Amino acid sequence: MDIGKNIADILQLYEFSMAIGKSLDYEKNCDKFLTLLLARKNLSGCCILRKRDEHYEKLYAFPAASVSNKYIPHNQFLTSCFKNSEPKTGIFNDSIKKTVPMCTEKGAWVYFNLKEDLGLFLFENNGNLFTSIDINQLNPIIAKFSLSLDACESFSKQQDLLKKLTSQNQELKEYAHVISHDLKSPLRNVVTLIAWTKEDAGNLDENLLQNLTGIEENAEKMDNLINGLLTYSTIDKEDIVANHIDIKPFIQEIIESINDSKKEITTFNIHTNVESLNFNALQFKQLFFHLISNAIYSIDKENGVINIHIDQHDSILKCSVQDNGKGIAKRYFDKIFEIFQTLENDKKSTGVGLSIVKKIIELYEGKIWLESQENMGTSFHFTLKT
Amino acid sequence: MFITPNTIENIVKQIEETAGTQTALLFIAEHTKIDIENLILELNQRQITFAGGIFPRVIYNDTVYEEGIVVNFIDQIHHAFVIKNLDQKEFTIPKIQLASDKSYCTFTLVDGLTGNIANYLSELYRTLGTSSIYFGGGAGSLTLEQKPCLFDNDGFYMNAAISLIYESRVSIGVKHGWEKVDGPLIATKTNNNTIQEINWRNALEVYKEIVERDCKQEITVDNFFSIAKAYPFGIVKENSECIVRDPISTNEKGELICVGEVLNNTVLDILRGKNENLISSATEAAKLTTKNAQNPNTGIIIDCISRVLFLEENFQLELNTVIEELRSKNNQMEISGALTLGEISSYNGYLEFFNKTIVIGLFE
Repeated sequence: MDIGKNIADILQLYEFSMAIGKSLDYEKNCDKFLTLLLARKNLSGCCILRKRDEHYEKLYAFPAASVSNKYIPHNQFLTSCFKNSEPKTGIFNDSIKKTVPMCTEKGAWVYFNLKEDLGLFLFENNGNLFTSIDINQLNPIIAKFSLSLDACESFSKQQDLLKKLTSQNQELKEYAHVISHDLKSPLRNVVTLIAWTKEDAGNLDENLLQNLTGIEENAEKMDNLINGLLTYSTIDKEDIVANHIDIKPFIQEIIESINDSKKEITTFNIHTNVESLNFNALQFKQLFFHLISNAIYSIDKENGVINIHIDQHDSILKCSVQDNGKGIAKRYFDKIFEIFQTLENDKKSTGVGLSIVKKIIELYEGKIWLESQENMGTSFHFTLKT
Repeated sequence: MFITPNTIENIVKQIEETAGTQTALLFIAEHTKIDIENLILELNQRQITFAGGIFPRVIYNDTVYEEGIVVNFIDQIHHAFVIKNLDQKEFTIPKIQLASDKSYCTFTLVDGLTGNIANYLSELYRTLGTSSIYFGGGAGSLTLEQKPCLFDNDGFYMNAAISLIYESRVSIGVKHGWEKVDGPLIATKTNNNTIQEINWRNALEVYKEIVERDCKQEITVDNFFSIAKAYPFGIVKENSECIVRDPISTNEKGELICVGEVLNNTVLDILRGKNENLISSATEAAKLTTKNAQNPNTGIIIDCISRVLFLEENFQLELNTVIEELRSKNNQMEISGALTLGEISSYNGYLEFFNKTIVIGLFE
């Protein structure tokens, strides 16, 4: 036994196997492995064909013209190759040359089945037949190459999907802005026209006045709904920039911005174990604005109390907003975070606020849950990864 | 045609007399006292189409010249192109359609000291495939100092390749005759032309261990080239001789710099030369050529300059036996060539860049 030859063969297979999967790009992956195989085995060309219902499709060929047509009609030669999962070899003859446009005058070919519908052909020009040892040595290497082609295809699909998703996100963002602008401007006109009607008409009939106020309130709700939808659809698509936030003044500012008369009868307590943190200011404001607004809105007692906790534990931010309001029935616990869900027929509520909260929290790989007792109050707890 | 060193005007005049509408292919020996820019200017003024290179030495009939110009003429160029900046990865070979019922030769000259030659040849083969025979070599200076060495009507180039595609029936013979001393080894870390590690160890350390044991001499920085010229690497290739890679220098990191690329994980042997083997392999290459040729009228020899350095005065013996064999096919045939930095041929399979090899072409 020629040990030296065996070692050389094994090292050659090592070289081939190291050339597989060097790139996730289909063409480059084929280039790296197959051109090495052609060079070392002194072969003249190769091609990868995929069997389709209507024809065979050339996926790769080296040299490019070794198979001149992109599509090859079904024929006896290719059918006999593709029906076997075992490699097959032979010499080019006139009948093959007539049916398969492989640019070679002479020589031998070998076929390896890569997958059910995918096959690799290697060609050589010197008339040396591929031996069973050649084929047996190459078979496991080609099987490994076949797996790497699967990985390339998956990667390519993933990249296409990502590209499509990015483009859809961009479209959605633009769409949301256009819609919001186009819907809001007639709404602003409606509100202005009602205000002018009220001013100009002097003493209006009580019913008419009530109707006009109703229109005004609905227009305001519509405006809030558009704002909410715009925020909901774009909150996870904006570039996230971290800002420095001084917690207590920031929360105080949010409370001041909430337009609700119940604020006057409510005491706010802010507890935190950190003075400041780095977080996207817009998203942080959205989170607490909706939770504190809901808490204030739920106050049904003479003296409201709202406790806000913000604690940093390593990279996790643990927060809660607790009120002594009317509480939420258990059956609403899951439903409450769904978009357009409101607890009762509230003219002002849009049903978007808590959906925005949940979306922001999920963006930061956090969780939100609530504890509540009817007539006693509600606590919303959530975590965020900073 | 061979032109002895002369004034530019006389050189151009001699070329013009024969050129007509043909393209002149010029091999200039590097010690020829000639201003290439001026030559380009003069040839352009006479509207002569040309391409060529500067080589360590040139061959005309049975003589090797250190000065002088060998000129061959090509009837009808189907396509000619220059690829510049070959040392950069990005280059594009024009799309070329060759008729399947005709025989073509692609004559390629490259800057033998640039990087990426194998990649260029691979792309050339991807484009033209088996529809052409390939033939050519690496230009440059024997000092191994890289400088402009290729030229055509449009300029004088470094880091470039010139390919001329024309209709011709060509018969090729390729051989080197170097024999295995040790191996197989694996080039576990490489960077283009540089072998950094062999068998996961410093490349020079491994090379020294093997070569010093065989030549019974210590390898130092000073004597590296004189010893290494007799111990090249061989890249294992089935159904043919191995591809020789010539280590021409080493650097302070103990890496070996070769003429031509060595890919990561290439299986290598270390080779050794014997005068008689090299000479007999050259004769064999000539026999292969004559065996396949029918009525050749021109013979071109592309022989590696390092074979001359190794064989020294015996190189004349190699040349004589080759010429004798070629002349057996056609006694009147003009034979010329160049001593090159690397040789190019496909030889019925994948297109390769060789070192220390003789490539002979008979053209009809």
